[in-house]
Amino acid sequence: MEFYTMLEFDIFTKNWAYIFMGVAVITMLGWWLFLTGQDEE
Amino acid sequence: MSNHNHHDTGQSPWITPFNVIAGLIVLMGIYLTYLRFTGGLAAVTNLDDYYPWGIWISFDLLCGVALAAGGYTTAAACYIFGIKKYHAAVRPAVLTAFLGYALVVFALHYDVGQPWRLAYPIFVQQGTTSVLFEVGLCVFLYLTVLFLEWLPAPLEWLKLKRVRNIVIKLTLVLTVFGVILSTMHQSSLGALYLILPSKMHPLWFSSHLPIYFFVSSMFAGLSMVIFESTLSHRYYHNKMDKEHLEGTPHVTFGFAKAAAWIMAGYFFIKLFGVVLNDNWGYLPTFYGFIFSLEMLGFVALPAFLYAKGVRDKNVKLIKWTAVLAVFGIIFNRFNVSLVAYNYHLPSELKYFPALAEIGVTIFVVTVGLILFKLISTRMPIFYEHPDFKGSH
Repeated sequence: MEFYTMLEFDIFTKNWAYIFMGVAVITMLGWWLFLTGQDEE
Repeated sequence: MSNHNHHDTGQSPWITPFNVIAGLIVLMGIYLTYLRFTGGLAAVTNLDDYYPWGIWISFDLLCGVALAAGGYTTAAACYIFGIKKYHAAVRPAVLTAFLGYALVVFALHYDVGQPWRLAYPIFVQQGTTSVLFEVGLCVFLYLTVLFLEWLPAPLEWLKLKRVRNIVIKLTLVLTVFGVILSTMHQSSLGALYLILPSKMHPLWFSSHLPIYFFVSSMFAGLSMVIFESTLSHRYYHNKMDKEHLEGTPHVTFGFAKAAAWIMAGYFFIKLFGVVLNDNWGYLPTFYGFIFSLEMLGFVALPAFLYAKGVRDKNVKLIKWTAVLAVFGIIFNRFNVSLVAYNYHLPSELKYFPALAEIGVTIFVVTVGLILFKLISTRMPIFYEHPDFKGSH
C-alpha cells in the first residue's frame, strides 16, 4: 500500500491495530479457558 | 525428612567429571583474563567501531539479566501475591538471580574499556540524561537488594540469629524494591536500543522495545525457575526437605500456567509492533524468517506446550518446554543486539565473536555454576534450617 502523508499511514496502521486488539482480546479469553480448562474446582 | 540427609558428613571425592571440566574451564578463563587485561579488548575480541558490543553484552548481560528475572517473579508471587505454595522456590530463585546479576557485573569488567571506572556513573559523575545511567543505577541497586534477599541463607548457615532476624523483617520491602527495580531495569535494557532506529532491522526496532524486554523477562524468569528446579532435582535431590519436594509440582504447574499466559500476551504485543509500523512486507525475507521463527517457534510453540503440559499434568513436557523458552529468550536477545543490529552492513563487515570471547562467556557461566554448587550444597537453599523452621 502506498502512503502519501503521515496521516494516511497512521490511519491505516491504527485501523489494523484496533482490529488486532479485538482479535487479541477474544483470543486471550479463549486462551484462558483452554489454559484453565482442566483445573480442579 | 526421609529424603533429607544434608547433615551427611561423608567427604565427597574431589575428582568428579564436573570438577575436572570446571577446573579446566577456570584455567582457560584465567589465561584469557590475563590476555584481556594485558593486551586490551583487541587481543581477545572481534569488536570494532561497527560493533562496540558483542556477545559479552548479548549473552552475559542481556540474557543474564533476563534469565535472572526468576528472582523478582518468584519473590513477588510468594510475598506480594501471597501464594505461599511457591515459598520453597524463593531461595533457589533468589540465589540464581543474585549470582546472575553478580556475574553480569563481573563480566562487565571484561567488556568495559576501563573497568576500574565502573563505579563512576554512580559515585563520581552521573550522566542522568543517559539510559545507560539508569541501567547502571538499577544493576547497582538491584544487586544490593538481591544480596540482602539472599543474606538470610548465609546468616542461618553461620548461626547469626539476631542479624538474620533483622534481615528477615526486610523481606517484604526488599521484594517491593526488587519488583520496582526490575521493572525499570529490564525495560531500560530494551530502551538502550531505542537510540538505534536506523541501525536496527524494523521488525525488531519498535518504540515499545522497553515493554517487550520487560514482559519477556517475566516468562524468562518463570521458565528459568522451572529449568533450574529440574537440574537441582537431578543433582541435589538429597539436599531437599519435604516442603521443597512437595512444593515443586505447585511451582512447575503454576509457573508454567503463568508463563503460557504472559507469552500469549507477549505474542500479541509483538504483533502490534508489526501492525503499527506496517512491517508486513519484511516477513517474506530472510530477516522475516528469523523473526517468524522467534515468534512462532520460541514464543507461540512454548506457550502452547506449557498450556498442554498444565492441562495434561505433564511435568516432563513442561520441563522440556522450559528449556525451549530459555533458548527462545537467548535467541531474542541475540536477535535484537546482534542479528537485527547493523543489518544493512555487508557480510564482510559483520561481527562474529572471537573464540576467546566465547571462552570468557563459558568461563563466566562456569564460575556461576561453581558458586551455585558451593552455596547450595552448604547453605539452607533447598531446605529450611532446623533452627528457623516456618519463620520466614
